[in-house]
Amino acid sequence: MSSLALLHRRRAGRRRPWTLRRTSGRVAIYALLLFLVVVFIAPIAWGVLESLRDPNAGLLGSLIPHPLHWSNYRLAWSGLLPFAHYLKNTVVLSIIYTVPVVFTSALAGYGFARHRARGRNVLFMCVLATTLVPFVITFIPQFVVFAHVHMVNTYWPWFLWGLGGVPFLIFLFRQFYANFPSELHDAAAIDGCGSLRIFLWIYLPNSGAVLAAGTIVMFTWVWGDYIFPALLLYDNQTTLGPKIAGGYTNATGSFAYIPVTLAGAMLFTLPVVLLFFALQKKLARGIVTTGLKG
Amino acid sequence: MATAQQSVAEPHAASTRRRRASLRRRETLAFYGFISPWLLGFIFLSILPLALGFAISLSNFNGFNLHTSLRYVGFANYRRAFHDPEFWQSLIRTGVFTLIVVPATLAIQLGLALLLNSRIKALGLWRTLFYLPAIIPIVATAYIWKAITAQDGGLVNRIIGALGGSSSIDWLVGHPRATLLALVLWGSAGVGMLIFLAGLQSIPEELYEAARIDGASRFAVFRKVTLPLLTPVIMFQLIFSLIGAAQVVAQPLLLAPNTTGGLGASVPPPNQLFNVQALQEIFVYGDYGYGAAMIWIFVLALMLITAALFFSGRFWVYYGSEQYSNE
Repeated sequence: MSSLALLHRRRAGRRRPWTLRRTSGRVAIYALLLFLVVVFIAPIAWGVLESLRDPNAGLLGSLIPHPLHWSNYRLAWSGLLPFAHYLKNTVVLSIIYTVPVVFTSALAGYGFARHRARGRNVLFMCVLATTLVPFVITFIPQFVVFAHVHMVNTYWPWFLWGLGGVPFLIFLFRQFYANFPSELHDAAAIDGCGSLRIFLWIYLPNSGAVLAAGTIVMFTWVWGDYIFPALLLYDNQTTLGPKIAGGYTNATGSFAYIPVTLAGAMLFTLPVVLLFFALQKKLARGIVTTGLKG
Repeated sequence: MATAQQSVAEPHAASTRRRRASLRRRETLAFYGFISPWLLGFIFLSILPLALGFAISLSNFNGFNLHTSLRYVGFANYRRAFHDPEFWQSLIRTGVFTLIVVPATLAIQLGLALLLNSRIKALGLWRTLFYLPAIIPIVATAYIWKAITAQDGGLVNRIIGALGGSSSIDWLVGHPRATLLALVLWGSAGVGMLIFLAGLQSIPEELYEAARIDGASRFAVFRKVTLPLLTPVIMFQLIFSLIGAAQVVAQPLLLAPNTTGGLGASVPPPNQLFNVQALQEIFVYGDYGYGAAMIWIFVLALMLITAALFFSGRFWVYYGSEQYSNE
């Protein structure tokens, strides 16, 4: 088409007349969105509501619990389980995994994006291929080895997994660094900066959105993980995932306090929700702008 | 030195060549330096475990007999799997589960992304709300859905009761798969939505303009512009949700009724997916050799399906635009 027609069209498009059909279409979109948000948020709201019921009555009673048993949260925090202790474990484990995984993924992403070498493409195919390998098949032998070298019930496996990086993040960083303006890179190279210094001083400080996206994705995953702590940790070393999964019961374990368990689950959820709200703009930007275009 | 003779004739060119060679060597060194943490991880956390896992599947390893009665049993574990009706049942069950989950997740994620891409106000807020379930710890989501589907006082039964129906269905016992599907679909929508949204936003606006000038209807624009340009993202999501759905393991364990989850939980038969069975075989019954053989068969089947999907991409994935040709 001619560019003139395009220009004309674009100008016309900016001030489109408000016809009835258009308005009703807009209303329908917002109505649908609102309905879907209710469907998505209702389960969470229900979980919060149920966490405020009388712990001895289970989930029965009026739709809105009355009175609201905020004391369930106190019970979840200290009454029935040393919550703070397992919270500390969860924080430590999450950091031990997240910090190395983001850093080494950034390093590898930078290597793949900015350095030419024999074998680069084959190795990058290997990065992508590992995402296709289900975790159980590599985990079982790892577990056997971890047990043999006394790493079961320690946080070493998470540190080692972190050092190995994660394909998704390597891919994200590679995409981001490949589109990085090369002027800065060249200027630093002329000034005699080595590759590592260029990475640490120029690339890393300028990858805020991707760093934030990577951090939030990996941190929320390891924070909420159940299966690996359940398989590798026990007693005092374990995290909130398996602990909350065990639920809150009376001393003999014969009666489960479901509302208190839900209160504990909400306390467990709160930190990652706060982190998510703090970083959500960067999360979207990190994933959208790096061009995760498949 | 092959270049020695030439360097007499062309000293300048030789020194450039030498400098270029050393530059290239430095570049190679830097490349391998930067990727070395990943490369070591790849060798020691992926390649070696794969080999070791295959070796385990050919043995009678049970976790304790490493120095005592460990021996090579050939393909006995594989033969046992092929003659085990439970193996086939859980394989078929996982196949059916995957066949439901993959199209459903893709439809939900793409639908949400299309809605969010229709020039709405407060995009960030909507996006955040839809993404929220994806960041909630899996244990918390399992308890939330247990509370929703509880027989006494659960949300679903309350709604059915309010509508005048029978309101004492024990969902976790009577319809465990429905509960599991609801949990999985709800929990995984956000991530895919974000990826589809990124794909939609990378479609150049000019194409839509051109289609509009040609008088194309909204549906025609979707079919002829949006969908073809989105096929690489659809392929990406198809493969990742396939692998994700086939690997579901924590949710069935945590949704097991009347227990508090745990690896030893007795999962109702419809929710005994393949990974659940294999993990329990290994960590509850200590049958490493058999469990590893089961997993290897499963992984090979999964890889064959993935390869077939990749291959099918030749016929439906659009790589025409230059923008989509890099990865």
